[in-house]
Amino acid sequence: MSNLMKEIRNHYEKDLKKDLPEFNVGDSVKVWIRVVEGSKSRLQAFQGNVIRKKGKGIEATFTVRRVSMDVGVERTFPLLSPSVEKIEVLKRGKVRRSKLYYLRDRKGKSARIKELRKK
Amino acid sequence: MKTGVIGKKVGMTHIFVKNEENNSVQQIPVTVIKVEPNFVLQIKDTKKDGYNAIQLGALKNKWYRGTKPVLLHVMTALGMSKEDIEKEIKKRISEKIFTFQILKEFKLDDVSQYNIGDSVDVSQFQKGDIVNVIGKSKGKGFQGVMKRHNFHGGPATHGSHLHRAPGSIGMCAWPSRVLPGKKMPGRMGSDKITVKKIPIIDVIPEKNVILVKGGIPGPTNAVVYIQK
Repeated sequence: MSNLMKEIRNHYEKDLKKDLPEFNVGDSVKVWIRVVEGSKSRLQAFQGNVIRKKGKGIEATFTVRRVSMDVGVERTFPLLSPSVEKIEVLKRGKVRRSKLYYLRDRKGKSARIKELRKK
Repeated sequence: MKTGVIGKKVGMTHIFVKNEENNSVQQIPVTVIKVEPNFVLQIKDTKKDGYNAIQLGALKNKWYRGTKPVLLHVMTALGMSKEDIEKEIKKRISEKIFTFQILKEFKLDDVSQYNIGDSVDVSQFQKGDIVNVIGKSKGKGFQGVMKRHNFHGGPATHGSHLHRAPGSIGMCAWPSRVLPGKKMPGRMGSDKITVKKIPIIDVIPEKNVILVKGGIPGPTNAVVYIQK
């Protein structure tokens, strides 16, 4: 990556820096998104496990997976997007992988993530 | 066309743009183009040449020496006298000093605002302008008809022996030849491609950078031409 490209990314990232909690892959999170419909806007929540974190700076994204009515739903959010207003970390997960794609093949009990307990 | 510049593709990213009316946020993919000041080297007008155009020089490259006619052309444009030019050329050839790497002519509607030796930079572009970007696409090598011309190919299974082949390429005893322009395998890519009507998302004058929406042809560091 050229230096100029880094400068450009930083140029736009500056204004976006916001106080987000630190979270890792395996954590259970609730993401609040600003949804605009016409002239009205409201907050919408999406709750699930983080199965992927990707990219740096302005290009960083994370993917949240939840199983809703027996159907797996995954949503990818740009980490620094202004429409992601708030992220709540509900549970810390104990995982040994950086990408939890194996959860896609699991169902029920085996699709759980162990909770990380601090000593 | 009102104006044009020569630039270099730097890379891609995305930025977030807020709509002031209802506070909605758009994530827009952008290509970053670096435009260092170009110089006007020649002006053509309808009286003398039959059409209006400016010739721009860009990308000063110290390793590129340039042939003598090019050096002469460039230095005359920058307003040097004949004797000076000869001295300068001798000096430059011995010391390998830069000249412009790219010379490109842009056909314009009006050239009255330009003078030879002027520098042309990003300041003539503004946020929201609609531009055309011309570049050379990535070379793909020798490719078959499925990739090169989007043929469907044959069935993969059921005992088929025709998978990616083009099939019949023409008729029988008449005309006993292949019609011109028949789509066949061959070299793909490295074509001159114009992406039309793409908006400029942002201009950063202190960094000499233009951001246009979406992708443009060619690899990183490729030379591109922007026309308004």
